[in-house]
Amino acid sequence: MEPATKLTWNPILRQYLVNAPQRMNRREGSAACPFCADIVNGKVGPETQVWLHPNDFPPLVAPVGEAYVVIYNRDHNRTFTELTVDEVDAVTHLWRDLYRDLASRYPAVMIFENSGEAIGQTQHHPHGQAFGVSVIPPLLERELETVLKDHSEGKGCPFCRAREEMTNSDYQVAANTTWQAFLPPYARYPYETHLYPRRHVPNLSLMQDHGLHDLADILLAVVRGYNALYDGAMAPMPYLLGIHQLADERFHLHVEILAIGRAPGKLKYAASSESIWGLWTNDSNPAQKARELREAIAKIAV
Amino acid sequence: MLANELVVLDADSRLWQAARSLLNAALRLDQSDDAYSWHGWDKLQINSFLKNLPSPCSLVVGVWKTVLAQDGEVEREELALGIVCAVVEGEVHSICTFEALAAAGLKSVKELEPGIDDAVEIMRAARKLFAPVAWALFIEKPAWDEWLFAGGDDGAVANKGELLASYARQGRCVLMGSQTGHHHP
Repeated sequence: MEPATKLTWNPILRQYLVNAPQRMNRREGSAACPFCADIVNGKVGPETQVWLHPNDFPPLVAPVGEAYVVIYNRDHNRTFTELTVDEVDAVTHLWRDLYRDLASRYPAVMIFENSGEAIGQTQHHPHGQAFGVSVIPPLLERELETVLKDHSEGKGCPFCRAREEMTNSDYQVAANTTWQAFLPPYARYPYETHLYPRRHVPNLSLMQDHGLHDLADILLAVVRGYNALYDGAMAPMPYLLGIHQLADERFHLHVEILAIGRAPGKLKYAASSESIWGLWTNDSNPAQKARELREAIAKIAV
Repeated sequence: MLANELVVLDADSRLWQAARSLLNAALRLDQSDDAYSWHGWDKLQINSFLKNLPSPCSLVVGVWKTVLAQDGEVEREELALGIVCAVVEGEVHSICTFEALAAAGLKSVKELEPGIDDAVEIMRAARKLFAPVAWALFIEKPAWDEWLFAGGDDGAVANKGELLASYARQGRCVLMGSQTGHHHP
């Protein structure tokens, strides 16, 4: 019998494609929230604020991979930016537990969030997703190749170097004790933001509790900052958020947030140049966008 | 390859019998010179594999065999080999059978089934008891024997890693674990 999910090798691009035809007829919005049902049906206790829900239409099935939904809060109507730092901290702890579990079965753990109907979010209960996957995704593999090349040439970690170069520069938009947020000069989207831990840490499993708390703090600051741009005219900012991490001590954990809005009422599309050739164009000045975001973050922090 | 003070955690396990002959072969390899090989295995290949693993980590092997019931008709799957090796700094420090994983909450070996659900639970238990799983191999006995005893031409050393990857691509075994991401065709 054919497995529900299979990996198809593209011999030209030398990368895998996940075939999951069973997802074609997946649920897209429904009157009854499947995550609130976990509460109603007693699958989670009254004290539980964050939990994992099996992906009801998994794009990945073991041994190819596993897919989960990470529920951020039991309150259906709260958005991510309405959560407190402590509440998001509970999410980051769940991310760490999930990473530890999945990384023991799969070489790559993809923790991510698709936020906003503009980029395909179908359930409004605050949540993200996670995949354990048996192959390393192409962009992560490319990053790892850079890491290994620099390591073999004695250059150290390229992420540490990029972080140092951007520290206190025009591209830094926020920082706390453990983390820094940058809108790098090579951003693909006008408000694309990368979060780096100051210390070289390869993955969430090695992040201490205070580091997770600081991650929650800076995540909220950046996403709330997006929503404060142009006096709120870009809120709620649709975004894609992903945590890049590997079980290789030479790798450097980081979070990438691809904010899709480029101006009030306008979205940046990954169109032909980007999707067909992989050549990105950014129609903005990253240093200027970094200043706008830095000021928006500072304004709401007051 | 093997630590000086290698520990066998549950030598009284029913599953240990099958593992014992493999350990004997490993000991012979470990104590012989580099030229010695056993069914396509040699010390250099194994050491190279072990030294590239994260430390600490676990290696898991589950081999299933089909047995006939006494009436000779009804078949059932039975675990022929189920072992976990704990590896530290490129050396195997301890070995146990799946029976020892009961300490980490795994159900009894008699209740284990060859499906992916139990494979996942075995790996969870190995992580809990020892360390994250670098490689886990779940395979049927005929394919296991074919792989284990495959020698290169004229009895030379075989590329066991590539052979196993080809089995995985053919669906003849399941490979999981943190180090399994680079097996392109």
